Amino acid sequence: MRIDLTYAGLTEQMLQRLKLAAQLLASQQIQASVRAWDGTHCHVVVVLALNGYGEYAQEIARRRGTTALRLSYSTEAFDNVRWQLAPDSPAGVMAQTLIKIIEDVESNSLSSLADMHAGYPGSLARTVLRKIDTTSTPPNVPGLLRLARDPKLRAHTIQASVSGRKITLRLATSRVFAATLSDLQASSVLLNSPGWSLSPVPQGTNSPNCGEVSLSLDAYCLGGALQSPEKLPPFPDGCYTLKSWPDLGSAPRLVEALRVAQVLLRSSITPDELAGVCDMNKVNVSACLWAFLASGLLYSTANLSVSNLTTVVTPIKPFSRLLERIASRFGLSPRSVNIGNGT
Amino acid sequence: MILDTAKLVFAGAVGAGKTTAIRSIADGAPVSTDVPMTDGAHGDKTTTTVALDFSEVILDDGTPLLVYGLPGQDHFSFMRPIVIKGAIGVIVLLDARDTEIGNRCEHWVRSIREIDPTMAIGIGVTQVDRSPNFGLADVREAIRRCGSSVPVFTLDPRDKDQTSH
Repeated sequence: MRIDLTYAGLTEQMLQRLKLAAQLLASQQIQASVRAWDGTHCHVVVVLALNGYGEYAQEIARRRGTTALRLSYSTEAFDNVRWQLAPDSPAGVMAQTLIKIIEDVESNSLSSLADMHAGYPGSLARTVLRKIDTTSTPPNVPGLLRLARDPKLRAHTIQASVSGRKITLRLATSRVFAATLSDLQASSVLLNSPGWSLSPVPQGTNSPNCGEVSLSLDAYCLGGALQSPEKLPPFPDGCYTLKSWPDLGSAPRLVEALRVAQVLLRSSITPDELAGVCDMNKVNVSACLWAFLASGLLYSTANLSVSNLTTVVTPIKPFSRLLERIASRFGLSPRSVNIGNGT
Repeated sequence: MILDTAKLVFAGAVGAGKTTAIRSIADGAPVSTDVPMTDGAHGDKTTTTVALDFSEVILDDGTPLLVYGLPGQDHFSFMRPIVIKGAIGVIVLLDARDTEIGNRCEHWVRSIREIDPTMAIGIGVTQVDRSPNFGLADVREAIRRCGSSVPVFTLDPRDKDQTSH
């Protein structure tokens, strides 16, 4: 078995221990290569949490569904990171952890390390789709669900087409490109329909000419999902949260999605509760969740941590009524006015 | 609590589009203190704000929303606490072409938090169409380093709908 290990932000000493750990894996018939993280595909990326570059690599890995081994002294859970070690862990401990990562993948019946995506949202996507429908063949699945369910797609630039409209999705940077605005808009409208062709651009090949017009992936997915939300299946029950605000700057009309995002950023919550808190119908809430999953923003959490959901939307500043008036002045819903930091 | 006036502040680096954003949402032409750039034009940008921009938006009930734009240069940093004090929020605009956008974001968020730890902040990233490889990961990571979850959007400051969003 061969695995490709990359590292980001490590000190010289840590790198030496990682290389030693990689050599120790040979005792388990695992041949591990170690190289600096460069943004290309790998099986496991080892990052130093104290380092900005390491954090950056971890964020990219998370979005691509690549497993990250985080080196940090922090004892609290962070971003659903499953694998964490102290930065001064000896090579032996590091090797044991790497073996556990591999065993964990094997226990999940993933036959090859090319499928090794233990982190969110990749595994979440797989779990969610398993709950929905494991028999659908890709052509019969709406484009949005295919994006949401296939973590392998996250490692690639994707050339997509539907009804003659061609777009390019760069999931690593969360942007969608097309030759014309018309192609972007028309394909977005069809996002909840089947008939999509999704072709990953092979690693190592030059990126295709993407086109002059671009849009945030978050806005693209949400805009499409909310065009015909009834075409999407209900989002599976569970507790979900967001860690980052979706980029909806180019979609000023998606006020409902902002409200959903605001609640998800502050709580871990089920789809039904989310609909209640946001005072929205469940179909639209479900569409928002599918879109957040497809754009790589949604996290699944094991436990329901919200004790009093009504506090989530209770105004906390004396400006709230003023903010309502400002929102009204600019054509936004009064309930979407809190631009605060969510703290 | 009803206020007689409200204040909204645009901040951010030089050339990020603060003046443009204010022009797009203001009811009338803003009062600007733009002068020609002494170190030459930066692309299409030939002037820069040396004091502040000011404009006004009248809300539906007649309340004036005072909109200020801070100059981006650090040597005008002494103006920040003066202008930011009492604002309902600060919109920080960043240029997607800036290779140090993450650090720039962290700098602005920390600077504003030093002035008012409870200040509502929103981040807008402009010029994304001129930076095809831009992604929000750096900015989001910078915000995490600041320990908060400030909303981040890409936007075109020329577009009133996007700016007011």
